[in-house]
Amino acid sequence: MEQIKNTRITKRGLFFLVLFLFIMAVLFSRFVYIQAAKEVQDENLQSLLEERWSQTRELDASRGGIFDRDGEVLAEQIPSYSIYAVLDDEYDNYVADPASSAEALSAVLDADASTLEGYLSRDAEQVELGPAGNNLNYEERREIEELDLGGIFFREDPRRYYPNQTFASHVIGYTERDMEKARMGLEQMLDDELREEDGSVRYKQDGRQRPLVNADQIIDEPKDGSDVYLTIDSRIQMAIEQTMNQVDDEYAPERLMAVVASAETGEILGMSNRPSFNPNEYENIENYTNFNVSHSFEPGSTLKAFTLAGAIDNGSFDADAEFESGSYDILDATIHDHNNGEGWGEISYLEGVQRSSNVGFAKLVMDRMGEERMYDYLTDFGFRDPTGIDLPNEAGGLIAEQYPVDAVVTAFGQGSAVTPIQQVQAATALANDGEMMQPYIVDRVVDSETNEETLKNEPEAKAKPISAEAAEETMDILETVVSADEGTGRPFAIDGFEIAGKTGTAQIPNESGGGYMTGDGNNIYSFLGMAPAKDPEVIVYVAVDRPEIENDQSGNEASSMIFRQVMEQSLQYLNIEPDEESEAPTVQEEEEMPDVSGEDTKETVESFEERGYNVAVIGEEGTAVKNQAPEAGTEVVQGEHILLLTDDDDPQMPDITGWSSRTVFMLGDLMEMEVEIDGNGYAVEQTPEPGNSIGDASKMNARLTLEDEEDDESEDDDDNGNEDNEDDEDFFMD
Amino acid sequence: MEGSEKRKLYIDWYLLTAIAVLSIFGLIMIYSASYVRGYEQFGNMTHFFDRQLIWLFLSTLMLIFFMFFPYRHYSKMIKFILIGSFAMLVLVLMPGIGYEVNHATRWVTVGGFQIQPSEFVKISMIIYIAYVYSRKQAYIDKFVSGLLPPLIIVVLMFALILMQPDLGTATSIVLVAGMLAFCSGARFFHIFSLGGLAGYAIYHYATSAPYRMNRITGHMNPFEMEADHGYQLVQSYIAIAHGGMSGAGIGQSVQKLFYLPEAHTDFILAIVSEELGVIGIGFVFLLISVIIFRGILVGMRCRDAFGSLLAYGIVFQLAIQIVFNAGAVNGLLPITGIPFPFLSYGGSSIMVTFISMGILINISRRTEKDRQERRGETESVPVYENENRSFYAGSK
Repeated sequence: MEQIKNTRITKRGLFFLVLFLFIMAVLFSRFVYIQAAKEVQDENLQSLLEERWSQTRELDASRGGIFDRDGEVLAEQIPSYSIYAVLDDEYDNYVADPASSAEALSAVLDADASTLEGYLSRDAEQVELGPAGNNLNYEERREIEELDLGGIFFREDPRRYYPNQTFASHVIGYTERDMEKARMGLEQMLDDELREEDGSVRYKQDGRQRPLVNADQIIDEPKDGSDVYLTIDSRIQMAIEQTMNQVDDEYAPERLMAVVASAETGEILGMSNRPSFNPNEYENIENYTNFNVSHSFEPGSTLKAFTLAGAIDNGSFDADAEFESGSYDILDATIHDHNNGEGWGEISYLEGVQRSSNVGFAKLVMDRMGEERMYDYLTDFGFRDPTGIDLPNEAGGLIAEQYPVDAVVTAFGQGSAVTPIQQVQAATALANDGEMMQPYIVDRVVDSETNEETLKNEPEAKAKPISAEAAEETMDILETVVSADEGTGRPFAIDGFEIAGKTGTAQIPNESGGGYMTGDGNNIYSFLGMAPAKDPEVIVYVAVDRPEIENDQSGNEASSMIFRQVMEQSLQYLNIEPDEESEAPTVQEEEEMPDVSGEDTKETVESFEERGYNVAVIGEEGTAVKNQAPEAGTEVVQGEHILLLTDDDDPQMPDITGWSSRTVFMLGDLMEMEVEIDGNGYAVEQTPEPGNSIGDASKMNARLTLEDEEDDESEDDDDNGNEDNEDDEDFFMD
Repeated sequence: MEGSEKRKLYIDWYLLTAIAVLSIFGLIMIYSASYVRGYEQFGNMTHFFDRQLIWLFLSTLMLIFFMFFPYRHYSKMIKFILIGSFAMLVLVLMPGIGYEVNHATRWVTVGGFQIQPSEFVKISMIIYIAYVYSRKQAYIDKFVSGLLPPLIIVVLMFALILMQPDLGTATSIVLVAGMLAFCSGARFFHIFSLGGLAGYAIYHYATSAPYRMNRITGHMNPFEMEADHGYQLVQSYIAIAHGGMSGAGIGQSVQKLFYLPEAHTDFILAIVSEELGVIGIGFVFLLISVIIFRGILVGMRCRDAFGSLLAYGIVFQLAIQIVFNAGAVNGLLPITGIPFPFLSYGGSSIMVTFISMGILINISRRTEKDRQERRGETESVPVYENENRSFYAGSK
């Protein structure tokens, strides 16, 4: 008979009961321990969970923009796009056919199909398409999207962009495309203002990286960078850049410098250099120096303006007093006038200024003014210190005063070195009744969130080196430098305005030690001009370093070209009316176009040409005028083109070189031909060729360009006779 | 059951109440832990809840059935139970029949439901061992004739389950077998020798394959291996710490939002802790302790060896699963992938748990009835006139 139940079963069951209840107590305690301590293996679980749950997403802010005085954009942040291609066929959307995709992309991107195919055929999950696939604009992105290629995606990265390309480049400087680092110019100097502060949002997320619905968010607001408004006037700056390009092409100088400033306020309206650069392609920068503020050099005769002003102020200048020009022996040195030391015999000091006589200025300082006085005035005009303009890396002047002869040569601008901006600053004193204005280029900094002006610069008179009367007299004399027959400034005259100014032709020290460079064009040709002379509004300083010129060419051609164009356009943009009292005879009159059809061709042409019109005759054999453009009754102005079609049976195509598009269209209307124009500016090429019979041709083509604006046959043809007849411009001899 | 006793059910209300409360609590927690996942995965917040509810309903029917099905009948079905278990375990390993999840083939599909045969084998092995050792009570201290024979079957089943592989379940079966062998009266020397051997074998197996070894190192250094093998445990710790003592509040778990894997299954206890804190965990352990206490008490009170061992086996199995699961959740034990009875989502688990609880209650009813009848006997009825007596003495 079997045992019904062993007593061990009960005892051992009791053992397990106790054991399991004990284990349950242990397990429970472990839970309570973790719940209470929130710590396991020295790991703080509370901070761990906060870390694991919280997600921080960056909130992007924009870098501030740089604007001109009217709010034109000079530097901005724009969206840009980079392509990437998914190649892995594990994705639904991938590049299935690299060859045809590359072919299609090459139509939009700046890369050939085989290069792109190389990228698209790589053994990778995804690829970028090299430089050609970066920095695309929105239009390019749209174009590519419309190709509807599989596996092509875009990443958006904002970038810095300079819409005007090469434009006050050394002033603005640049920030790297991705805006990580500001490298140069105002971009760098005002980086603290311009720089954005990216914000962030911290929130709790679930295990699939999605924000939790009800959880709190901690938002650190992004802050856009402040906007910077400059005193630059884009139109004036554009005039500088265009003229400089032209001069750069024609004369290939080592350097060009130009500063345009408001005479009354010291605001810089334009500033540029050559060599310059396109800040959108900052990899290609050759020249990092803004010569206008960072380059001090022996300025040459422009400095005479200030020696003169000082002498007038201190009463030692007598315009009518006479001196023997040519050469002057003083302190073991011989000073020569620039016409090989010949001089002009005994002349007045006034004429000495007009002719830019070195001897005259040497004598003025040594015999009449005293070198101490001169140095004092140079100090007062601010030539010893940097001007303090709000641009980086400004250089100061270096006034030579070690040897007695230094004073002599400094009097006429040699020996001592100053910067263009110092001369412009000093010129404000001449232009502004003796009040010297602080030059500045940042008008205001505006907080882009609050629109508050965090910085606002106001015009500030920083010194008064000379009296108002002295300033006025100096201006009167400097005006004669440009207007007098013997004035060296004549090439800088502008029709309709009185210009006061001083030319300079500075010698350049040999880099390899003593002496100065010799040879044609191995000078810095400069001009410091102010207009209108009576009450100056604009100061323009131009310097052309070592232009390539022919033997018979004047070194002033390049500097006068820049000065006249820049000054003329600046005055126009600032709405300064031409001076009625100006000696310039070219007062343009409007008149009504008469009806000349049926009149004698020859007589009509002569009559129009006498009145200053450009007349083009189509059909030279014809004796009578058949048709005309502009139509009778239209207002016409001297200098305009007038087209006359004669009764010639076989009219020929006129030479339209230099014509504006308007005139070309006028011709088209007259001849009932269709006109097709390529480019902007003035005509340089045409079909049919000049002199060819027009016959049945129903269409004409013209290519226009801005570059050769100055060609002989240009519209504003005002016969350059005066400018070419210049005196010998070698101001200095060794 | 008969005559004047007809209306008396002899139910252990402590046990039944604990089971019912725990199961309903589990259902609520499953909903809380799974509604976000249900919505994301199936567009239905009650996806998991609905299924669990159906399983709970079916399981309750099973519980009621087994509650009234006399446990002694199992001794007549041993062969059928053994062959059935063996067949199921072989079937699940057959390619095309077994259903693979996470590189383990543990499920077969029967009528649209996924069944986990090893869950059912757990209960069938308990019945088998309880049966064999109750029959061998007279010579249970003999190793070869007494203790060893059923263990060979256990090792065979262990091997089959290991092939799925499911080390956790396989180990729990061996552990329960060992504990039953011990309770049945085997010698200490035999038990410890065999236990040592089994321990060594399981340890060797667990550490032999790198992925199993990783579970162990992941458990020991979860923070250093958070990227992979320590991830689950770290997330579990975070859940427990987040809730703290007071709990984040019902439904307020953050870890269930796709941080803690298996939030509604193996790691539901972490969610209980996160949402309800010390109260929730204490509540669960209290109810579990009631079940263990009342269950082992049934075994101790039962007057026949089979019933006692069967009751023990059922409780041990339950307790071992709780130890393995809770230990994995709170970092005392490596993760073995064993669900928490009553709480974890999963049809086979709740079904087998309820079946075993049904059997346990049946034993308790029998025992209680005997006790009351005995008490009555001392007053009026002679012991040996009880008809039931002949039933379990019938083997002589």
